[in-house]
Amino acid sequence: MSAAIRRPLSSAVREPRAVRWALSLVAIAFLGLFVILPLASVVSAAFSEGARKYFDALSSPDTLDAIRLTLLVAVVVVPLNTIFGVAAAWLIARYDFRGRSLLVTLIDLPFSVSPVIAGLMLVLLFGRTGLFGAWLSAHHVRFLFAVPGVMMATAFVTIGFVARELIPLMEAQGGDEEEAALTLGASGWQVFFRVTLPKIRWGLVTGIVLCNARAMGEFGAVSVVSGHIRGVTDTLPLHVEILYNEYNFVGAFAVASLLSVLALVTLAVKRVLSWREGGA
Amino acid sequence: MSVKVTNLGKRYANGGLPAVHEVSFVAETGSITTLLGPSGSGKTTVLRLIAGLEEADRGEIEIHGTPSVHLPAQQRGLGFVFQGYALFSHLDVRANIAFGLHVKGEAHKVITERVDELLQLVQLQDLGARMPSQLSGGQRQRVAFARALATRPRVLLLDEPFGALDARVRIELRDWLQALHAQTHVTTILVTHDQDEALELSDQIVLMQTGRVVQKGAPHELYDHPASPFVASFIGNASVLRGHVSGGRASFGASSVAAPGGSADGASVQAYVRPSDVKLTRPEADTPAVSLALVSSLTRVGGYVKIDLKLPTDEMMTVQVSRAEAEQLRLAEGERVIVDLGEAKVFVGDYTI
Repeated sequence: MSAAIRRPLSSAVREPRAVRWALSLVAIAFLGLFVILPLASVVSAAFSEGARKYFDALSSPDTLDAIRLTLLVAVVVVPLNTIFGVAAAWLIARYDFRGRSLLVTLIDLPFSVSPVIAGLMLVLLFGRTGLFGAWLSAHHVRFLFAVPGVMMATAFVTIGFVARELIPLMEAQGGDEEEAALTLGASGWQVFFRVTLPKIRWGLVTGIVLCNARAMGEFGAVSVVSGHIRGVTDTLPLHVEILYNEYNFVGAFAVASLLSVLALVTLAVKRVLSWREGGA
Repeated sequence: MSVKVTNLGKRYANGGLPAVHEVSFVAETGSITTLLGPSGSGKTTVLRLIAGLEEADRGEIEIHGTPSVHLPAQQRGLGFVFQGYALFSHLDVRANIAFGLHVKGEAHKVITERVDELLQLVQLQDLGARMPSQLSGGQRQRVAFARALATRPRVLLLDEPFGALDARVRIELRDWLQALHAQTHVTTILVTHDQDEALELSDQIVLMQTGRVVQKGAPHELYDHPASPFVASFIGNASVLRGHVSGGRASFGASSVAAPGGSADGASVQAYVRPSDVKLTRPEADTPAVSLALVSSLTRVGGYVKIDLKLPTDEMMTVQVSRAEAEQLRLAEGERVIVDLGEAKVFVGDYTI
């Protein structure tokens, strides 16, 4: 893992001062208008009726239920997708097999499909008239409009995060160190835990952090399958919408600020990790 | 015998050319055997087959009498030094060397002692705590050796061990490897494309071309008695001269050497002339100019002089003489000299290489 050496651009390819200022100004203006201003307005709306109302809104039973469900979904989905991601990246980076490029495309599919469509696909499969619908209702298993459906939808949209982070990393690293470990007598598991895992650790953590952020923040797919049952299938992003539709603006923006903090923490962690990756 | 390879075969693509075909040789205990050949000759594949990093399609590999062709790499008890070192980048030098002992479950004390011993052997006592990225190429290579030797392998396999290093370090490490081998006596199989390395280090050279063994033997056997034009041209940077047999001698323009036994008059022959095989002498006043070679260029390369000669037949030939010799002959561009092909290797027939 060697970071590209950054050196200042030579004067030959540098723009004149005026152009540089103009470009910087445009970039800052856009960031301010479309990122910083909205973020600030979320926070200010959340606190518009004082800190007390803010914390009251966050500690209402429905909000606490939404937080609990969101955490539960993340705790189940993120490890599953981590295992899948490592296995898929291992396969794709190390082996040449039939259907390899199909697998890569399939991993990318959830990124390109609109989340609403992802939700509808689940409805088609598990709804009353769906493929597995009859079987599920015969066995009294609740899937749609229940926690399993929420988890399934979340898993679908976050399936590729870990794999996408790892595939380029593992392809760049190659398998030389693993071969060396084999000739030194290491078993397959020893090779994985003592050589492969340490080599990919920062990329893996980055993938997990991104996967987690999306799992907690997903709206579209979950919205279709959850049924918005308060205290049962209501995740944080869905809860924001419910509160907003009820004109409970302080509550809506308070929960939204919580999600924003999550996003900012995620970005900070990713930043630190990519710095570690480059420096280690 | 230590490593015995019999009729080894390996094909990568179905229906493609074999990467390795009918390769057989024996590496004696305590010796250095070199697999030598141009790139793409299959020498690295043979090494990886012996190590168990590739699966052989056919043939046998015996390591200290144990049939090993179906053993997984972990159980072959070999040390492997990779071309790109393949050090564990997340572990420091000590942990790299200790890796094989760790996975074997050796006691902490045993590992510490063995690592100390190896650091001393490869003269890196003070660098145990460094990370691989903080080492020079030569130092990394020595860590790779120490790591491979840590588990006391019965056989050491080296894949172009000095390939990535600059010329001076290469030669230094070559001497170092010889000293190391004298200390450890571990049976060694070395892959290289560098004939000097092979000639200097080996007890036995196995010369390969397009997946096959073309000649094997002691270095001087291959050098003095090349079995084919390929061997003659690959070992010793020979120039090729074309001529024909007449009166039992192979003649190349004005020069001639003894023809190979049994070659008929008029048969075409090729001579492989190494830069150091040729004797140059100054012509006498009465030597006919047609039989002389013209010095077309003269390059001083360190302690010797490289001379490009244009023969009376218009063929070009490169010759190498010491500086003292060049001065004694008062050689200069445009001078004419007598060429004695005394040591040239002659083969009957037309070959293209």
